[in-house]
Amino acid sequence: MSGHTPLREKAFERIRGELLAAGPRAFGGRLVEQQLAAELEMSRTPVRDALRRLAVIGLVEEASGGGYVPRRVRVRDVREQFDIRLLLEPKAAELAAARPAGEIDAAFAAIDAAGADAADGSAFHLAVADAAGNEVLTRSIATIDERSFVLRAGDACSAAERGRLRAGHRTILAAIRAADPVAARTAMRDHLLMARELSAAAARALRTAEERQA
Amino acid sequence: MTNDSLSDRAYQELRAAIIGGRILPGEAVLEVEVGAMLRMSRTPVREALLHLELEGYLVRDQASRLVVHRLSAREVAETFVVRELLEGEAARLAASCISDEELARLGELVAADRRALRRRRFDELAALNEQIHGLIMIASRNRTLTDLLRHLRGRIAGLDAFAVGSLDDQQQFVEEHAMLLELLRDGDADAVVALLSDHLGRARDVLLGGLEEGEPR
Repeated sequence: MSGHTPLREKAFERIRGELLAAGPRAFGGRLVEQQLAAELEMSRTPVRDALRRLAVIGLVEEASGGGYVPRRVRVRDVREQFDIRLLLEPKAAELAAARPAGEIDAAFAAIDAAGADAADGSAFHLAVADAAGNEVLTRSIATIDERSFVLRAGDACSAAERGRLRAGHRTILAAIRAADPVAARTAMRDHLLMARELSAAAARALRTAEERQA
Repeated sequence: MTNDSLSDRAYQELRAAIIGGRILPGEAVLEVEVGAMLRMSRTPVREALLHLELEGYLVRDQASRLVVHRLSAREVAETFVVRELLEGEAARLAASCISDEELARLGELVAADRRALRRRRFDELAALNEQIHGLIMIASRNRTLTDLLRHLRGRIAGLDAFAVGSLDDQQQFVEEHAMLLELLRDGDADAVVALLSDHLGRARDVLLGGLEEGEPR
């Protein structure tokens, strides 16, 4: 059985990566175990496990004629996800800022590596989650991150909006460095509130575009 | 029976065995053994195990075997920080959108909770506790929240066998479940959240106490 887990993980990550990049058009809009196994050059078992897991986290849904289809982004899902991030991530920023300076050096290195300026905020948010020093919290935040993809699309928001999101990252980082838990919490909250509105708007635009095509 | 309903049965049985303490934290759960025990082929068993792994009941050890998750005291403390945030929010949402059917069902569960307490059925109390908190979670109507919470609850589930606490503790938990029902019925979100926070704090302390003693009941 050893060597089994990496294969499952590999299948999961590859299919997930394609779903995030291509959205509803990933794999021609339909995910069938046998075809995917051929495409990824894997046996069917890890592919089947990966598809089930993707269905559980809500990135694909079962199709009526068998197999799966990419799950369409719903504005409601986006809002729900952000509502939960708003519970967890301000807490993570607060805990990170409250940790003794020595303990968090490695985390700062990770945050720096992720780059407060990166276009994809995912790495930054995961690094802050990590800095909180509560593994369960980190994993919960990572679980939500794994299934959310609206703002990742390159054209999801304007350059000015992206600039504001990056400025938010810098404010959060400064508050954690200044060991100010209240400021870190508030900065994370403000940043997520803005990201939530941008993401909801992006999801709405996506729906409108889909409907126009249909 | 179809594969799906077989795998669902395997899932339900294994989950109940973990919650009821018949399979203990750290114990391996092997596809072949489960198949023999439930007289099923490997495919439905496999699916049930995958499901339990996704929900945190089972984890893979270094040899990639599935074992019942065994939490350290630190993990319990960490889990409760997150659980309080998420379950508090679930209760807050539930206070405004729980349906009449759900309230009725919760009423039945609370009544069963009282009966189990009178009969000192600790295994039933553990299962009912799971159902009561599960119902409030589902009544929140937030899928992200439900998925995350399900996972956290799965991680802790096996510990209930170690940590029933005293009879007084159980009495207090049952009373609090009844009060949660009342407050949800009144739609008093703030009071539900406050009570739940106290309730979970006590549950955490009982679990940590049980971990220190280190012996299953």
